[in-house]
Amino acid sequence: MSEKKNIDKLFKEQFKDFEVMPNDAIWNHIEQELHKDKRKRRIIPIWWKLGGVAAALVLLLTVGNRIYNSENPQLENSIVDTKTKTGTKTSSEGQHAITNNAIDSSQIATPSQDPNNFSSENKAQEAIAQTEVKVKTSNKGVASSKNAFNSSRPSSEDIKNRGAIEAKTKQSNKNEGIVKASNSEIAKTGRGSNSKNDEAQYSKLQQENEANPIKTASQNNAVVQNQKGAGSKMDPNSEPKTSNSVDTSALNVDPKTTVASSHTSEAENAAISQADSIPAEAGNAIETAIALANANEDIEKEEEEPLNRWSVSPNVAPVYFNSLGKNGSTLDGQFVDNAKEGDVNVSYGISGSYAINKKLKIRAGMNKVDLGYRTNNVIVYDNTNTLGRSDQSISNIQLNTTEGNNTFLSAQNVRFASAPDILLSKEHAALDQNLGFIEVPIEIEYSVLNTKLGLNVIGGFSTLFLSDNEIFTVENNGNRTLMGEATNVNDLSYSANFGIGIDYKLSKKLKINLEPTFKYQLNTFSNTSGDFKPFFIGVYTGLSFKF
Amino acid sequence: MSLEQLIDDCKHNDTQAQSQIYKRYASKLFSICLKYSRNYAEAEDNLQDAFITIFKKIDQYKAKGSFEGWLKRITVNTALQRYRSVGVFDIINEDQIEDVSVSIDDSNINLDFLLSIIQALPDRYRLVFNLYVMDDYPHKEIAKLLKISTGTSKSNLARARLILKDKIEQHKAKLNSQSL
Repeated sequence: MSEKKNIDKLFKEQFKDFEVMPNDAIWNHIEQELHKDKRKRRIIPIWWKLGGVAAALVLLLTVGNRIYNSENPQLENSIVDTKTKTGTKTSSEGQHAITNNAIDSSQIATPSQDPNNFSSENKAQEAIAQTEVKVKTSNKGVASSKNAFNSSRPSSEDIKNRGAIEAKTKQSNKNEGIVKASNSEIAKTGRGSNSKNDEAQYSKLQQENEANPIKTASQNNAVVQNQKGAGSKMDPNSEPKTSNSVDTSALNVDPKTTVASSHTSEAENAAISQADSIPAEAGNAIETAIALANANEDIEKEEEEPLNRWSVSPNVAPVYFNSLGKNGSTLDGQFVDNAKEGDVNVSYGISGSYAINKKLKIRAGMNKVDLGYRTNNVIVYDNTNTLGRSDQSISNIQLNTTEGNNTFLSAQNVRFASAPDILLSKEHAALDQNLGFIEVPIEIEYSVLNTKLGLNVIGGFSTLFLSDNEIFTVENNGNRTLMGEATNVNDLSYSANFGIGIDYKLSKKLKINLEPTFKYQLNTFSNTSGDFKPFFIGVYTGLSFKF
Repeated sequence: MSLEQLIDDCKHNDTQAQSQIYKRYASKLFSICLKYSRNYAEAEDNLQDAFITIFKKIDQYKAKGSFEGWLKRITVNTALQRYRSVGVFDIINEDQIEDVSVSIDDSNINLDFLLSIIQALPDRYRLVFNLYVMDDYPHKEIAKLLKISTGTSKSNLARARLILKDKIEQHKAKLNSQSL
């Protein structure tokens, strides 16, 4: 009966039509896995967590800032502090450049000085030379104090000094922030003497200097910078104040000489003698200095602006909702090819922002958004007295009880040749889907242009919480009836946002904003037919208050 | 709905389309999983993993080859992946035997029994046997897929045949003794 057969053939033939339907549970697992992956794994970790951290940080900073400000009524003081800071920034930052410039110019210019100045300058230089050898840190102080001398001197040097000052101011622009660490000492002392009373401050420091001369060399340096800053600021105002700056420069020599021991008296003399010669010379210098200092002050003012890190902007926007995909429907597969149109609705809300630096702002807010979408060419008819219950219901709509007997058909799918008359006689209606969301955007704003008219690029994400979900039938005669709600709209969804912001500064504190923003919705619908990629565009306008 | 339309909808992560595709191909792909796996539960795991891969990568499917062929390849690869990651192919260190054809008395043998003896084969034999005999992969490709030499592939196939023959003959003897 049986014959020998190749085992390969045996298996192959036996398994040729081998098919086994797996357990239904498998599909549920697969579906779950596919959706879990889409909603939870991919979107949430990447930006939702990050955004949450950012929002928490913003909140913390806001509250912290509030508390700190309310407990510390010395707002004026803090402003003074920052001014001193920027002042010192100018001097300390420009220092390297100044050191070189100052030495060069003094060397070149010495011959043209009157004998008195010449000799004193020489001696001062001696002192400098020695200090340089002995304590390197005092070097900076010396250089800058020398510069203070120079700046009050007129004639040929003046031009060079101007160059130096310009360099100074330029650098001060670039280097905010970086200096903060090195200036912390100054900030402290600045807070101690809230008025710009440099002398009081100086004497205090000098006492410290006497206590431990070498160690405080760097402190001297700080004092020199500080006073220098104050000095250069006062320059333009009036003559008495210039003499003040000369005083400080004279004093600058002092700490240095505690290190350079033997030259103390000579250096002091040098400084004092020069101070004598200054009132006359200063006259010219002042005029040129005024222009520079004015420019300087302007720069300082600009520097102060971003210190108003916080701002609040209420906004309102017309929003237009539509889909990027050509053919798609959120309601049912039969409406994929129907004509559809997006509605223009309104979004309004408020947002707060925190400026990380001049260019970059992080902002969060809350908006109410209403979106609308209309599907045209739908035939609605009452089942009860026509065709009887058919299966033409809409898969993604939970119908109201009163509408339960109605059947909806896409006119696209009805063939005029074969359709019952009742369908053809029906007027075509439309389905209006209205969705409302509470939107929580977390965005980053990058300033491209920061003048009176500013330009920003905005990017970020929004979290959308579903608040309204309604579907209406709209008949041609205008009758609008609530028909039910969509079952496929997620309670929680997201959007990726991109916008361009234009603002016009009315004052330092107040701006008008105009921000056309494109928001691409990521998982608003859990089940759509065809190619439906929802988005909305809003042109957000509003006012922004800085504080 | 046409297959093209279904595939297109799947590319947009349409749940209904995915469900349709699953219904169409699940039984075919599950039979592959059963042959390549050690047991039923493992086959279910493989099928699940295969479909997840299929729907995630469906946008990479270019309508050049047959869709079913593409699905089968992914399913086979998913099964191989499981054993590849366990490293069952690295431990082969045995004398290679000749690739011989094995013949057996032809008679109706229960399909479930055949499946059970395939599943009982050691992983490396089972996979080679399935790839070569059931799915017509040449030794060269099997060697590449399993990262073994073609010699090893041939040897594994020969051993698989011998084991299967033994089991079938034992089974027959048992049946005969029972019927007597």
